Amino acid sequence: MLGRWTHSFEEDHDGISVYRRDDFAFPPARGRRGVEFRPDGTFVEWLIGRGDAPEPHLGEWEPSGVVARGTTGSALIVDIQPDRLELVWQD
Amino acid sequence: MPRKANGRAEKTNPADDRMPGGMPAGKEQNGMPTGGMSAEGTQNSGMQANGMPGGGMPGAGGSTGSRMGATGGGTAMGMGGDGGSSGMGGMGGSGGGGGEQPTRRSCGVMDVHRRLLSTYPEYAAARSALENATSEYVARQQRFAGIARIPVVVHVVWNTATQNISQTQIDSQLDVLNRDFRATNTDIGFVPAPFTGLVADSRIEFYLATEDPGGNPHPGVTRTQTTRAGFSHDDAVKRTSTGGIDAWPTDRYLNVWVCQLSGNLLGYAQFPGGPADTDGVVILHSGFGTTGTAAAPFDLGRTTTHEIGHYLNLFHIWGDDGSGCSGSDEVADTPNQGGPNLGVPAFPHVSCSNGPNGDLFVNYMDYTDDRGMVMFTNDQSTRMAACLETVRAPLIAATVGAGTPTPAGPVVSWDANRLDAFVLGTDRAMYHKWWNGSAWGPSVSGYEYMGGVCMSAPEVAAWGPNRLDAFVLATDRGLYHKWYDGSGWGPSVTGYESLGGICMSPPRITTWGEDRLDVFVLGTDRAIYHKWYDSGAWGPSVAGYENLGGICMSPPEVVAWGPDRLDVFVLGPDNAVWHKWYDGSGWSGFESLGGVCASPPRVVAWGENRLDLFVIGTDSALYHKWWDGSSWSGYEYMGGPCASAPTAVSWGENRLDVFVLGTDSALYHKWYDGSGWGPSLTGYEYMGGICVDEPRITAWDENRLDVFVVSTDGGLYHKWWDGSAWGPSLTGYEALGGVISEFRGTRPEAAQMPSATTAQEAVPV
Ligand SMILES: [Zn+2]
Repeated sequence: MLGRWTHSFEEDHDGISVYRRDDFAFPPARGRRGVEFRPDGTFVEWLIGRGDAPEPHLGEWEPSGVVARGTTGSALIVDIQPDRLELVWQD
Repeated sequence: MPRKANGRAEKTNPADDRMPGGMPAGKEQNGMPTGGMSAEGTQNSGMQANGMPGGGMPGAGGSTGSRMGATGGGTAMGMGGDGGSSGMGGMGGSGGGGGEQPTRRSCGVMDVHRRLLSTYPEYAAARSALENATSEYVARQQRFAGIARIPVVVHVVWNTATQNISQTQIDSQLDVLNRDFRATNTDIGFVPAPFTGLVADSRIEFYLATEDPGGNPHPGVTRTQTTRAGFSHDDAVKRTSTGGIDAWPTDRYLNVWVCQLSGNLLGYAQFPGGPADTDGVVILHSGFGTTGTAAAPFDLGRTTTHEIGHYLNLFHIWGDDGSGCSGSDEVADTPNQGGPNLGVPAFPHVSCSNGPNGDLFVNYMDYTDDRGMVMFTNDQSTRMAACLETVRAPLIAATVGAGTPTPAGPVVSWDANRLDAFVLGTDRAMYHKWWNGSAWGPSVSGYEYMGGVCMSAPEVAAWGPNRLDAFVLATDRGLYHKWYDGSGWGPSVTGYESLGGICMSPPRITTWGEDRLDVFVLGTDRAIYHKWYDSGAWGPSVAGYENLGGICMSPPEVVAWGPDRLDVFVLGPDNAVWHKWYDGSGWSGFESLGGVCASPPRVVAWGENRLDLFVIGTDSALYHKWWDGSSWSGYEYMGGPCASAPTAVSWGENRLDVFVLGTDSALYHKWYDGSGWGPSLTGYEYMGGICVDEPRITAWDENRLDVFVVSTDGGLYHKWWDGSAWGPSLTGYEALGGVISEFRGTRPEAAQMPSATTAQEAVPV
């Protein structure tokens, strides 16, 4: 789970947001957000910056690994595999 | 469409609204900022601004400026229509977070923004100042004339041979830019019918630079092989030391780096106001141009169009608040929109209750595929123009306005019955004519050619009989000078002395006596810079300047009411008037005189220790404030509406004459005779004309006025007050060159120049 994940929005389904590792063959897109779990408990939302560069917004994730709180809401981790992460976002 | 997930409106983080405090110490050097521009070298310093708060002005929060913030809202009378919005915060206001729209901040913490805040403290102040300048510019409804042409340098940074894109691919991108920014793109028909009225020609064009920074011929493309497989958004590509290539001087070139970008990034941009060495845009090579490595669906060159939109201060059309409806792009004519549109949506795509027409997803500042974005709007175009005429002005200095008919210039009188008038011709050279008491020279409609390619109207001072000193900016925005000593012009009739600088405002000149001149300009940091001529020598040096600090939104207005006395007035980013003065021993800090002004302040002194200040308020009315030797009055409401900044002159103690243009472009006049204002406190005398520029007035004797205006035909016109009547008539003009256009012979409707409503502060004069 640790590390950075990029939104593979083409794979989103049923209200679930799908994320992939950076080596995934993403189709080109003008902007992709992402999330990052850091070992110190920091949860980073990578949002699209004003000038298009990704920008980190810091939150935290619970040691249980179930819920992460960011600046845009909370993410419930519903599935985790080595190359695929599924989150459900709530306000 | 992106999911709502991860895309909601973020909460504001108040900590990020904080602007940095004082100006960085480094800025208090003298010599013009961005030095090294003129051959003479501007590193010469002179009087340090030491001891003087370099800051003290807006954006410089807790400066040491002596009277900084002491007044602020307190003394200022409301100048806007409603009293509540007046008072104007103290200067810290712009720095204290008051300057930004809350909605703009809701996008939350931004990495680049935050990084700049911490590593480049000027950024916050510059951004805030720019936003204010943009609003002011938009409100003025004026644009640069003609076409602004931006020189571009493309830096190809390649690792594999494929990434070393061809000249053909580069040229294809320039072609796209020149179509997209002129609204001549062939796919503009993609705009849904309800939006076609918003399509704008920004009158901005791009060309590959033809000279390198040293002035040598150059194709405008650099090619650099790198060992790095790819670059991220950390700006490494912008530095030779990190595998990229250093920028060319970013005030003169739009730098475009084309490289392999990792992390799914098509491109990114730096907004105006950021650090100079990383200014520009970065584009993924396969999103650049329309051929070569360009790959669908980003193979129509629109990524570069989009990034240059940012570079010219455009925000994303959805307001950068994720998918919320609270963010704004600070552009009036774009619909409120939720989040970015991806792919190519079908019309209409409704969000944020913006039906029936929905999002303007065909806009370049959305996030659709290349074939889905085809237009800028009118207000986006104006916002880009504001950027090009303020922070990015040097970029287009060499091209904008060329060939436009802008004769304008001041008139001075060094003796009774003597007038010297200076104008710019359509070739932007300086021209001169004079009245010697009996006739105009060289002829009534003729002018003496005085050379130059000028970027500002001549500013001329006369410290005594048979003496004239004329100042202009040239295309390099350096200050240039020529003088008349009674026998001839120096350095020659058509030559100029270079006085260094990179000036962001026309020069303003005053003299307090023989052999003394004081010259004020704004530098590229919008601070006031000062130099002086005293008994044969320039201080602090020929090409050097004294930094007087501040972040100024108007050219400095300067008055000298006596020897060793200077009073300087500017608008701050809060649009209030700020004042500092020199009393013979040193400079004061900045003092706020309040107000929310829609014009630069104009100040005149009828005698020692007396100052009368005039500005236009946001309600287009004229306001007056005066210093009586011991204190400042409040703002006195004097009616309107006015369509130009006021021009004020005094021929003697207790006498003031103020001229403005009305909304009908005619000239209007009011006067103070020591007992009251004529024709009334808020009324105006109609003086005819259709004027395209502020009037220029001089008074060479008591009860004498000479008024010069430029009319719609570009010609100079003259009228005069001889003590008993206006010549040639109250509403007539003498033509001094050019073809006389029609002058309005009838009075305008009363409604066009209403005599005022309620006085906002009834202070008896
Ligand atoms: Zn963008």
